[in-house]
Parts: sequence; structure tokens; C-alpha cells
Amino acid sequence: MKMRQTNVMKLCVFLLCLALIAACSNNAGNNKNTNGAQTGENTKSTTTNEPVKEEEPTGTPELPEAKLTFYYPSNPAGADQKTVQDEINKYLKEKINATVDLKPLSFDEYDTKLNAMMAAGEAFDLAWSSRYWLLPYQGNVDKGAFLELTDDMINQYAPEARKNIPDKFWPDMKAVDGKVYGFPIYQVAAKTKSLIIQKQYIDKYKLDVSTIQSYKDLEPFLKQLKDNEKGVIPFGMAQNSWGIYVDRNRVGADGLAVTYQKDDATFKNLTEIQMIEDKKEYYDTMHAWYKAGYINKDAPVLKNINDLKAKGNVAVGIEFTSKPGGEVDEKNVNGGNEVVYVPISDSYFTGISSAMHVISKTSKNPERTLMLINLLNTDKYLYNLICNGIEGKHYTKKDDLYMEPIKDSGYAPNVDWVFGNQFNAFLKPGQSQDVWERTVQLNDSALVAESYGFSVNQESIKSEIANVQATKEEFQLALETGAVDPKDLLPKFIDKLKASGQDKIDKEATAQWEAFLKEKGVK
Amino acid sequence: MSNTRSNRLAGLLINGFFTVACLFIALPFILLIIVSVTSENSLVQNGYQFIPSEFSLEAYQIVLSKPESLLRGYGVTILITVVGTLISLLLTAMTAYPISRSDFRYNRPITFYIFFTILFNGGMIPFYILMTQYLHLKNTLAALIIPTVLSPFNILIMKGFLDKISKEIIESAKVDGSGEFRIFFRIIMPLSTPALATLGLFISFGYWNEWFYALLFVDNDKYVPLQLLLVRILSQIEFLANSPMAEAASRMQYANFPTLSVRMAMAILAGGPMLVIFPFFQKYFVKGITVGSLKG
Repeated sequence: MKMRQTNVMKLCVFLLCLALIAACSNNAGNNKNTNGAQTGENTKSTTTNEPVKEEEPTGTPELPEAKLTFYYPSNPAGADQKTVQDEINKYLKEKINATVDLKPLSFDEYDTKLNAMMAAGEAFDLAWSSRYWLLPYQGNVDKGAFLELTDDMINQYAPEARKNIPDKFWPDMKAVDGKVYGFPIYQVAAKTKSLIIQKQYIDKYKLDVSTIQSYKDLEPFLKQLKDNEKGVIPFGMAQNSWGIYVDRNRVGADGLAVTYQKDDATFKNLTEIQMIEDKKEYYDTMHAWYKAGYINKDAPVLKNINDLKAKGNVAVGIEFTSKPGGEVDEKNVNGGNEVVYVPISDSYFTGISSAMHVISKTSKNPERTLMLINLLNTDKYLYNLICNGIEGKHYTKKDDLYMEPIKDSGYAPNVDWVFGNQFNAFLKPGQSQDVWERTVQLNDSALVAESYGFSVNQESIKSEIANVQATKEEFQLALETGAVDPKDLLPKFIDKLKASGQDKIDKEATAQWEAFLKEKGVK
Repeated sequence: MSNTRSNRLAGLLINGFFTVACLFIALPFILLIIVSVTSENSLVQNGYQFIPSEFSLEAYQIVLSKPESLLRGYGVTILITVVGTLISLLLTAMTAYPISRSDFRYNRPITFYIFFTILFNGGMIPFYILMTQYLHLKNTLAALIIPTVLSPFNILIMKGFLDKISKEIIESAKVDGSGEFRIFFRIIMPLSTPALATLGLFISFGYWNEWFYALLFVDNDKYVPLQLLLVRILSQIEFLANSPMAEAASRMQYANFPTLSVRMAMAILAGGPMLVIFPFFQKYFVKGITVGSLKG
């Protein structure tokens, strides 16, 4: 009996030891593996691409068959994902002798899953990336996750797609090291600050929108609304929607590090304090509007303007990133009322790297993947197939330009901006006929500020920036929404900004800006 | 006289306190149910209300309109919950039992080893590599079950309970000629029903709420559990409602989408079954949760 018990115990100990050893060897294995993966990558990038395992004899000898995987963020497409993929592959097989495995992930899943995959060195070919949103560009370039796309490669495998993109925009694709790791998905690349005005009131009061060039021109209209429309908020504001002040004599927009006078050939940086002092009249106007009841009383405490707009009684609001055709979107946000954009600022170039395709370092077929990118950005048939599904089954063609999705058809990812150059898309109901031309026009005419791409290195002024931020949070909201009288508050605000170190920030920013200009050869 | 009065006062206060406490717990849930059957229009106009001004089952109609993937999600979730809980309970008990035996020489170092894993772990990337490149569990149901089969915390709770079982029972069983396995399955397991029931409930909640491992390891729509399905639907709604990037036309489709009530309806569909199961465990629950505390 005693014997048996000790035997069982021994067995337990033995098994536990085994488990421990297994755990240790797993770790060792991990290390070995990551090294292996790295050397594998290195050899791949230096030597020419090795023949692929899945290779099989086909009609086109110069291109061995390739299987590609494409990860992208998407809404759930529906039951027919596989059917559409088969259709795509039939076409791709003819074109470039490749098949693609589509791997849509929801927006919440995308980063987590791809980060894990890339860290583990798992092989995939194509992914969607963006400058500041999902799968952030620079961060992953730093990690070495993306393959560099050299000019040679692009010229050889994706020349048509490259031609679509204006050369003056191309520098935006460069990472910090000056190399390019992604291919842009060309779409709207400019933003304009606009007022959003409900169409019913424009019609009713015969407002000539071309007369509205700045916030001041709005006042008579707001008065009309206040006097005649009960229950309507003439000008809706919340914590995320203030800032209709624009000075058209200046070059500067949200996201740009410096602002300079338009006619100033030396591009002298305007200081924050000076700009706030210049806004005195604007703050007075806002306060007058607030007192007159043009602005909703809860503006300084309301978190999201869309909560208010959804009720449909906000007559005028602001949109920071208006784009051609955007009025259609706004209709839903405004409780189903039609709206009109009235631009109050210049259009600024915002970059083409907000959406792009990247090739993974682990890709076994980078050339073919680049060819696929080329097709996605140039081939109208392929693009509309992947965006909308199969004609007759998932959508119907109305005429040369327009399509109409079939409801509950089993394929509707609704993410055209993920797949490729949007200007190849069929128009959807509600979009205006010239939306793509207008977008291209807007892109081409957008003002590329001298300061585009310049950012202030904040290392030496970190604490000042934090202090200033806190001060701004304390005062700005109340001033911008007109909730307080700027007479005593504005001087207090400026004093406190100075005390928080705004001068030092301005000085530092100006110095870096001057250095940047010199380096660029502008000065 | 004054004694009974103060007694009555105390009773009143205690009852009052717990009534309020119960209300705090129950009301949000009742509100959840009510919002899920309120029309979107009245939600936008009036906010959340206990008495809805407009009744509507639209949210449920939308969520249940294409039941295939939802039913599949339920199927996957129920399967991993049942199978996972059973395996997990067995292995937890089998791990906890030896280290609860004082006549097992290495019980202390092994207990420490298990405890140690609570404090330190390898992190997500090594875990991912282990699961996909060594165990090859990508795109299998096992990937949803195996990672949470043995939780050190559960093992320690179980050990705490088993510690309290008097060792004389084991001795006498041995004298009567039973082997270790017989003792474990015939004596220890039945004696620890309260602990097993409690842990079983914890573990099954864990499996029921499982979505993260599915996110990492499952590409195939066949194996998507309920919760990940709901995460996806929610993320789609959020995206369409808030993103300036959403296509104009796709936004049109969702213009009249009852975003707020659909969320609540999904919460009820996802959590409902577990609420039904809970009362059946309750009788063990009280006893089991006191595991480790002083008992007469």
C-alpha cells in the first residue's frame, strides 16, 4: 500500500518535471525561431525571391502561381464573401496568375490581431495601414514590419497606379527615414472648414450663401432664425465643435505647427498670444450671440455635437473636414434634414497617407503583391467587384455611372476606401455625378502650406506644453462658445498663458521653424 | 419597551438599506430591458426613460433578422462553455488535490510554482507564438478552450477548499484498500461539490464571455463565438455612426438604424442565458464562496 502511494507521487513529480522542461524548451524554441525568422527576412531582401512552394505548372511560364493574403479592416461583408473571393480569384488568375485570400477584420480587431501576427513573424502579404489610425505607419515602419517599396519596384510592378498620384503629393508617403513603405489609396486629400446650414432655412429666408465668407456674415441670418423659428437652435455648438474663427489672410490650419501671414515672404511664425489677441472681436461676437440666444445654452458642457444635431433642430453648425459629396452624410447626422456646406476657409492639403496598402516583410511574393496593388488602384472591374460584389447578384447597374446595392444580398463591406483608388468606383445613389472630378479638383487646388510636414520637436518644452494645455482647457471652451464675457476673462487668459510658459513655446517653435526653412532652402 | 422600539428602528433601517441596495442593482438592468424595446426615435428625443413613450421591437428584429450566424455563435459558445468547463474542473481538481496533501513531499514548491505564474507571465506575443507556431491551434475550437483550462487562481481556491477535508477520511479509505484514483473520484470529488460548483460557475462565465482568444486565433467564421460576433456588430455600428470615413451611401442605409436600442438588445441576448443558469448554482454558491474561511 505504502509502496503504491509513493509510486503515484513519484509519477506526479516526474510529470511536473516534464512539464517544466517542456515550458523551458518552448522558450528556447521561441528565441531560436525569432532569430530564424529574422535571418530569413534578411536573406530574402538581399537575394532574389525564391521559387514559391505552391508553384505548379501553368500556362504562363514567366509567372509561377502565387497565393496572397490580404488583411483589411472592414464591416462584416455577409455570407457571400467566399463567392466574391472566388470571382476575384478567377479574374486575378488570368491577369497575374495569383489568387488572394481576403481576410476582413472588424475595426476593433484589426490592430490587436495584426500586431500579434507581425510580432510572431507570421507570413502574410498585403495589409491596410494609415498614418494616424489603424496599423499606424511610422510605428510599424520603425518595427521593421513593412517592406520598403523602392522606386524601381514601383516603376516595374505598379507604374499605372503610380501615375494616378500627383508627384507633388508623393513626398507625403515618406517615412522618417525618407524611404517609402506604403502605397497610397488615393482619395480626398484636402480639408476645408465649412458651415453646415440646413437647406430648408436657406430656402425659407432666401439666404444667398455666396455672401457668407466668415462668421460675421452669419449674424443677420441667425437673428432671423431666432425671431421666427421656435424650438430651433440657430447656431449649435458643443465641446467638439467650436472654432469658426478663420482669418483668410493667414496660412495655418488645425494640425499645422505654425501659422504665417499670407503675404509674408519670410514666413514669420505668428505667436499664439498675438493670435489670441487678434481674436478679441470674435470672442465678443460669440458672447453677444450667446446672450442673444443664438447659441445653445449648454454648449460649454455638451460633449458631442452629434447628440444635439440628431434631433434635427440645429440650423447652423460647423464641419472641419468638408469634402465633395459630404452633404449626403450630414443629412443623417442632422435628423434627416438636408444641409448645405458653406466654406469659410481655404482648402488645405492634408496628405495622401491617411489610407494606404503596405506589403509585409514576411511576404513570400512582394512583386506579385505589388502587382495586385496596381490592379486594385487601376482596374475598374476588379475594384468594383471587391467593393460591391457581383453585378446582378449584389448590385444592379443603373447606367454607366451609377450602381444600386441589392438589399440583404450577402455582400456589402461598405469600405471602398480600403480597397483602392476611389475614383474608379461606381457612384452610389445620392452621390452627385461629378463627385470624383470635384474631389480631384479639390486635391489639386488645395493649398500645400509651407509648413506642411513640419512639426515641433517638443522635447525641451514638454512641461510648458502641458501647462498651456491645462490653461487652454480652463478658458478656451468658455470663450469660444461665448458663454462668458471676454472683457475680463481674455486678459486673465493671456496672463495665465504667459505664466504657463507660452512665450517659451513660441520662441522654441519659431527657432525650429526658421531652421526648417533654412534647411529647405526657402530662406 | 425602548428595547423593542430600537429593535424595530434597526430592522427598519436595515431593511430600508437593503431595499435601496437592491434597487440600485435591479434598476439599471430593468432600464436595459426597457431601452431595448423602446423606439429609437423616442430615445433620441427623450433619452432613456423607465416608461417608454414609444414601444418597438425593431432592435430585436434587426439582431434576429439573420439568425444563422447568431445561432452558430450560440452553438460555438455553448460548446466551448460545456466542454471547457468540464475539462477545466477536472484538471483543476486533479492539480489542486496533490498539493493539498500534506504527505506529498513537494507540495510547497509546486504550490509556489503555481502561485508564481500569477505574478509573472510571458506576455501576449510569446503566447501567440506558442499557440500558433508550436501547438498549431490557429483556427481550431481548441484555441478557445485550452488557454483558460487551468487558471492558477482557481487551483489555489480549490486547494484551499481541499485543505479543509480531514485527512482521516483518506487514511481510512486506504485502510479499506482503495487506491489513489478511487479516493480522488469516489471521496474527494463528491465531498468538494460546493467548491466545484462555484468554480464551475466562474469558469463557465469565463468561457461564455470568451472573445479575445477568438479574435486572435480564429479566422474562420464557423468558429466565431457569440461575444466576438457581438463585438463585431457593435464595432460596425459605432463605425458607421461616427466615422467621417464611412461611405455616404452606407451611412444612408443606417440612417434609421436603432443604434441605441440594438446595443441593449444585444446585451440581453448575450448575457441572458447566463442569468437563467445562475439560480441553479445558487445553493452551492454560498457554501462554495466561503471556501477558505473559518467553518464549524
